Amino acid sequence: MNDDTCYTLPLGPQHPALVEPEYLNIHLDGETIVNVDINIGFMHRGIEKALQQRTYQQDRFLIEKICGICSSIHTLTYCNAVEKLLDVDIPERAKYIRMIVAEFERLHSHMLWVGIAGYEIGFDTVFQMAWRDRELVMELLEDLSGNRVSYSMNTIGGVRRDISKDMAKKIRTTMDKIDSRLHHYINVFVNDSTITKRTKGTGILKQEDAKRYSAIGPLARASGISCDLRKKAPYLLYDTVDFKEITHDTDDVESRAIVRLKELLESTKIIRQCLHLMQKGELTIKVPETVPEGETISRGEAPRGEIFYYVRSDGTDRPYRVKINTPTLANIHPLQSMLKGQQLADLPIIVASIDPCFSCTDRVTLIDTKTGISKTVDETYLQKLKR
Amino acid sequence: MKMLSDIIKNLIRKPATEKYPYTKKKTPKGFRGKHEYDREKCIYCGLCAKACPVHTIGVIKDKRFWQLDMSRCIFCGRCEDVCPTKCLRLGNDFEMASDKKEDFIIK
Amino acid sequence: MLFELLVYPGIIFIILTAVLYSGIMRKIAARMQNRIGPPIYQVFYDIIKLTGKENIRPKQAKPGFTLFPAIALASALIAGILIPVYAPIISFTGDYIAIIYFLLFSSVAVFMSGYASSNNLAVTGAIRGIVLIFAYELSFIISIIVPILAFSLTSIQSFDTWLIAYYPLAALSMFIAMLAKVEIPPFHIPNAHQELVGGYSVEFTGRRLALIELTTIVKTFVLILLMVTLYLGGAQNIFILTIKSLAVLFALTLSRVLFARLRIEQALRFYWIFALIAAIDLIRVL
Repeated sequence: MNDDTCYTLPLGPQHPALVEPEYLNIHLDGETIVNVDINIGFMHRGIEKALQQRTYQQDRFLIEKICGICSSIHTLTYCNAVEKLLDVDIPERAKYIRMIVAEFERLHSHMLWVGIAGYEIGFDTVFQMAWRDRELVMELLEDLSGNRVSYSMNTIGGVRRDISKDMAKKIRTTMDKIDSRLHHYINVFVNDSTITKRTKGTGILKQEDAKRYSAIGPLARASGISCDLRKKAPYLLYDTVDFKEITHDTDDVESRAIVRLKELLESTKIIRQCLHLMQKGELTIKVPETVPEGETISRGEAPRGEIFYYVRSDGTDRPYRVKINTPTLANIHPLQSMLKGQQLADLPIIVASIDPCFSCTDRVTLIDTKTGISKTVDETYLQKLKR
Repeated sequence: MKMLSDIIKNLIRKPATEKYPYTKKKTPKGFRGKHEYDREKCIYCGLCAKACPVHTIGVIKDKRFWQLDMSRCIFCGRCEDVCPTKCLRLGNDFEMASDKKEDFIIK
Repeated sequence: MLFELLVYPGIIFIILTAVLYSGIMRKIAARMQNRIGPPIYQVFYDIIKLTGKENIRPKQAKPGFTLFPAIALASALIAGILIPVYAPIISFTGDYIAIIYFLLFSSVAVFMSGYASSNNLAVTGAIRGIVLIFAYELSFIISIIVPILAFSLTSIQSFDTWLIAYYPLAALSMFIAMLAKVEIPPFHIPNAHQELVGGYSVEFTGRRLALIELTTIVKTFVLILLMVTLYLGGAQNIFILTIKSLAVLFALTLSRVLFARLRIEQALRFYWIFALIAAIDLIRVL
């Protein structure tokens, strides 16, 4: 790269377009982006290590703190993994409640994204309105679980709180309200002239590029790849409810917005069906404190994409190893190909279009500052650290 | 111009936001807020201390000592779940800010 | 004369009303977005608070870092004085050119101050601003020239007729140029804080930032006055002035909440095409 014609602009670690600290170094030629360096690791918290020092039941509460937005799907996937190790089958009602909470989470996460997208293209009204309507879901979640952000609904062996008859009625009326608002937002994102001017044709991620960078979640579905785990590898009772997988193939930011919004219409459909299918019954089954030796994986479809958990037990009440893989880590790499050749003005909306959640993403590499050699931490080193 | 309908409706509508410290939202029934502890009913079994993921509850059975440091609490409600006598529950109060350390300790 | 120049309807009146109008605009925008919004006098507080803050001058700042914000505000105020709201305070042959010049210079000075701060973000913002000037200035000049030519005047005057009815395209062209001049969406491109962290004003603190903020606020009001004087039949007394200027302010606010930000090249294309359309009115006058 020629230093005479290019200059660099830092996006982050502290930047109004990114809520979380992450550092993108942008090489610019005029207003055109030539290259982007993505530096992650400002938010590394050592959670996988901390999980090894707590019991399985206590880990749930740490795991839901990995991400403030997708706190339910993290615990859900983790609980699924541990239940697989324990070889127990949780009650049906608990499964439906887990699904309802997970879909609530998708609702509020994507509504949040709609607001962020509006904000990033300088459209404050969309931002304010989307977040106002998101509040409907947040209030339901608060009523249901007792907290707005960390729901703590899932427990190993079931769920902690029940959905009463009044609550179910309230959920049904709120879903109708949300449906009408969602139709409105789809109309806004497809037809509003200033929005389409900014979103159509920006941040193109071709299908083969998406495959090459192994993009997942709504980002991949907006490039025409069908990858919804709820369809591909149904967990809980997703195979008993009827819903469509949304894909769209215009590859740009608008396509991602449409995929997300239409997905929410499916989500409300799922919630209604769950409420209908739910039978009276137990919420939890008793599970032992210690988990038999073994290892397993579990996957779940988070709002941002696929979430992956690997849990290994050595027969005690604490996990030997928990490995977490989050969607943003997969989706942050396509940014490189999406940003090249784009305008600086489109940078925030393209970065936001992957719906980044950096606190889940951050990994750590040890670098010896004297020699400059970097190394990854291996298992024996980690076990040495374990008390 | 698709947001115009929203904007016109909003001009007539009451604002969705509220002036927080002056008007407070009521928290729902199952809210997980500030702890309410009933010393009379407590049997000092120590189950809450064992269950707590952040180890913020301290119990000594012989001295009849029970203490909770709210500043470390993550309000998961696990202590409430395991308590055999239901002497501990999470209440509806969510305003816990203070500049004194003693205010965070529940005895 | 001196009273008119300095107090009413001169400098002090313009500054105080401009700040008040900025507060009203924020309040209306908040209500349009279903928020309560700040109190109307919030902008007064902000400016007073800023004057008490530390004045930081970055090490790499170029000469003019302090001077340009002051020049920007002064030019905007001079343009305000030259506008004959009720009757001309100062009037000379070709003063409409002076208005165009001072309003332009006020914008340029703001961008120059951003350039002088030698920050990459500020410089990018400043360059965007200068590019935007090339975009909107043509339609702005057309909109000022049309009434002057229509009445074959040598200096600017308040018109009793509602020129907006005769030359709607020119009036619209002034309104749209106004949006870019004071950076209201969809043309808040130079200070796009999503990508540029506030653009040209990124390095400014304290009194200098207050000056820059005040420049935008005063410019908004001056342009509203210009719109009222030229196209909305002028103002005979303060009551009519208030109603007409608030109507323009409402239209500006509507634009503020109704649009997303355009990219710089989209704005450029939009303005040049629009200037071509507005030129129809110019041809009609000739």
